[in-house]
Amino acid sequence: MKRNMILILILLFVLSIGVAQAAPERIVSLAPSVTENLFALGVGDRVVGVTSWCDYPEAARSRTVIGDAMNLNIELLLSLEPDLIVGDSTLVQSHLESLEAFGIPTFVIGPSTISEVQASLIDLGEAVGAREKGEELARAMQVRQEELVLRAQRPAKIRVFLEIWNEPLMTVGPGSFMHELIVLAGGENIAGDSPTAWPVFSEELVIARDPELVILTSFNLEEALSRSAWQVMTAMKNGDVVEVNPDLYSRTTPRLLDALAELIEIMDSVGIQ
Amino acid sequence: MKLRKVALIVILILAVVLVATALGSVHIPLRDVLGILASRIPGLRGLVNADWSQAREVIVLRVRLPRVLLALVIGGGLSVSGVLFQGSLRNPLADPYIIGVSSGASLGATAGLLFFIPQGLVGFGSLPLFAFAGAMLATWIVSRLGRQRGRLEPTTLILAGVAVSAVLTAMVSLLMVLRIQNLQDVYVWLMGSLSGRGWQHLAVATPYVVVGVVLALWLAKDLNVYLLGEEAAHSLGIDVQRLQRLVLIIGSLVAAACVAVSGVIGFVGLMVPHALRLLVGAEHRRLIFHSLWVGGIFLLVADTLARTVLSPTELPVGIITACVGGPFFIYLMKRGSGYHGR
Amino acid sequence: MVDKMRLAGVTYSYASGKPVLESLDLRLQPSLFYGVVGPNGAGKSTLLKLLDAYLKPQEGTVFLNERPLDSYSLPYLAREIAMIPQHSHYFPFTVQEMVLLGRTPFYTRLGRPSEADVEIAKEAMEVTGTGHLASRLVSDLSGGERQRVTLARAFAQRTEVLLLDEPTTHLDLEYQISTCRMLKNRTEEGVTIIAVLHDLNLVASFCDYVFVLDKGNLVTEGCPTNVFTPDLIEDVFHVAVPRLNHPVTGRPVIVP
Repeated sequence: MKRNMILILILLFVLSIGVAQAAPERIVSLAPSVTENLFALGVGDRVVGVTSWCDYPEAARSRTVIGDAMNLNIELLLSLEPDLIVGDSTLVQSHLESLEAFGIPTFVIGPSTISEVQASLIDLGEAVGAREKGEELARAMQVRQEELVLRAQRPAKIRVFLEIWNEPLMTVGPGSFMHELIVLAGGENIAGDSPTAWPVFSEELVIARDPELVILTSFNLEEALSRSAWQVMTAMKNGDVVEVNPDLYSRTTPRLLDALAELIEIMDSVGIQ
Repeated sequence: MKLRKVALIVILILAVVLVATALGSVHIPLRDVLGILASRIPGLRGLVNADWSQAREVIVLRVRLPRVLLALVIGGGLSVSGVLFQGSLRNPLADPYIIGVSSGASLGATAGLLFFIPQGLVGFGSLPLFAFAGAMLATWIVSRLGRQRGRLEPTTLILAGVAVSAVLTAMVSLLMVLRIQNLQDVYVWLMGSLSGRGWQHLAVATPYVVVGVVLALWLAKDLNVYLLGEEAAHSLGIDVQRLQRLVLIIGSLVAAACVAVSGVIGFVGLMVPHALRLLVGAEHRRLIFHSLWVGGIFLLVADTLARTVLSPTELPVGIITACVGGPFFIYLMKRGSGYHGR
Repeated sequence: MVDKMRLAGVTYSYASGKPVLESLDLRLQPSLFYGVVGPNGAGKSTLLKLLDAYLKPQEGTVFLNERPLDSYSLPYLAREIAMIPQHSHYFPFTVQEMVLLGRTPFYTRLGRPSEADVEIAKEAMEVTGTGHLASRLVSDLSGGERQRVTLARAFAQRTEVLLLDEPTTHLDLEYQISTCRMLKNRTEEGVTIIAVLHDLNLVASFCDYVFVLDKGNLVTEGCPTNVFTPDLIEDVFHVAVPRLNHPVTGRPVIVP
């Protein structure tokens, strides 16, 4: 009996060393969402390098800045002696290949739907030795999402136009987070039949499809309100033109659901004078 | 060319290379840099005490050194290519991109980045091939259009180059609008930079530049005569059509190899030969030789500034070449030609 | 006497189709100074380009030393025939470098100019009065000085045939005359010179023989005294001018 116990203890000891060796100790993040998720997974203290855009959480700002996904400073990155680099879909292909050439393990996650975000949390958790926490975060997201969607039940879908940019007029289509959030919040994206995720849209079509809610993401409320051709829109007549901070709507992190909550709140007040 | 002068130039190049390799976003003491470099030279390995970190060695040998050498090669290559184009088109305002090399390379690279590489059909390492193929195809089209009465005519060539470049550049924009997914890759490539280029890039570009320079020096004598005009050159025994074709091919190959590896870096191929012509005259052997080393050092200095001035951010090297080169060039122009022979 | 050069039935048209020269027959003897005159568009420059093998005739043959031009290699021709075209390009070469370019047909591929080449270049510069300009840049010179430098380059080439297309256009009277004298002297050393000249009086004073071209045809040929009659000048140049005889040389003088 005693001998078995000792064997089991030795086995556990060896396994735990194995696990400890597998978990990376010096992680470099190449995207703000990744940084945020790493901290959410509880491995923030192992993050040694971040991009210049990584501003959440506060603690992330104190790490070494190594550029950003487009403009990567390889020297600084190498000097941090990382054992894992994590990037997202903004990571430029050429950088990915040079990183691989230096033999540093690189992990890329690129979710494009909310359920993919959940899956990426689990995958990222696995890669950094915090799989359990990853699963926990994914479950929490699922629960919260279901709660929010319940609250968003509406008698009729609200027609929404979300403007990314006005010159040229760009909106969101299927494949983008914002589109998915609009649909989950009980809205109908009037650009929902677009073939791409970031279509350049025709102004005439916007007016013809008459949205009840216009969401702006480039802080151009005054300019939008002054567009003469748009005055006929229901959204304009009812004053349902709002500005949002786009940052929250594209973070592939649990905070994405904060955006959903905000969107539901906005839509709840549509039509109410 | 006096041997002493050549020796001085070589020493200057080595010194600049050393300084450039010692500079960067990460501070590495000169002692370590020298040690790391020395440890790679077979005879000196035993003399150094290898007490620097692995990261430093990787940075010096695999990040900085290949980039520094590549800057020399590309700066020299673009400059010599510029000499060849300015000579064969008899136009001191020509640059290596004038008959479509840059727009063709951009289109090739963009097509590769947006269509072939994401599909996983080919690896990223094949990007220079796409760019090169695009460059040579564009040059071929321009040379066919640039014929008048069966002869290559400089003015017609230049006009054809401008027209074809406009069309190809528009096509690049079109591709970017239609396929927004991998745009960042395209932007990064188009900006022209030496960032992230390593030994494999050096291996791709160097043979073309070396062979191109050797051939250029071989043709230098004929180019001198060619400058006198087609009829005069003919009466002095030069096969004008053959020379034009050869020079354009060699110039295009060198420029295409450079652009394929580094993207479109402007200004070097135009300004260096032009400035040197004001300083050392139009005799081609002298001009090619000096363009080679001055162009190399110029780009090296510009690139080193680009990666250290606003560290950790890197500026695109084209900005530095324009900002530094432009005013100097204006000064040279105002001063007039300093070359008065011997 | 064997012809130095000969045109037999030569016809040339540019791409547009209309012949610039039609069925031209010409004979050029060695050591003579030939002038070619005619109104604009007569085909004079084209004639020179055919003689230089820069253009190939559609019909007929051009002969050098009784062999067709296209049987010679280009480098060989460069040692036999030199040409100064009407328009030259100028780049920052020094005068000496430019004149030395005239010795190019005599270098080897990797060769540099030899001592002898430099001497020949210097001599050519002296003869044309440009020796003092040796280290000046060609692009800094006046039009007249440049033209003399170009002449020096052609002299340095030491060929037996020298073709010139309007060599006196930018020159002062002094240099117009001295250039023609130089060319005449050259013929005494065995060189055959064919020059397109606009100034009929220069032709009349210095040339041994004249070819008059009009609309691609050879209207007449002969020595200036016989050729420059008022009738001919009226037919070809469409002006009525008196013709006098030079009191000293007896050669024709055309007075506008």
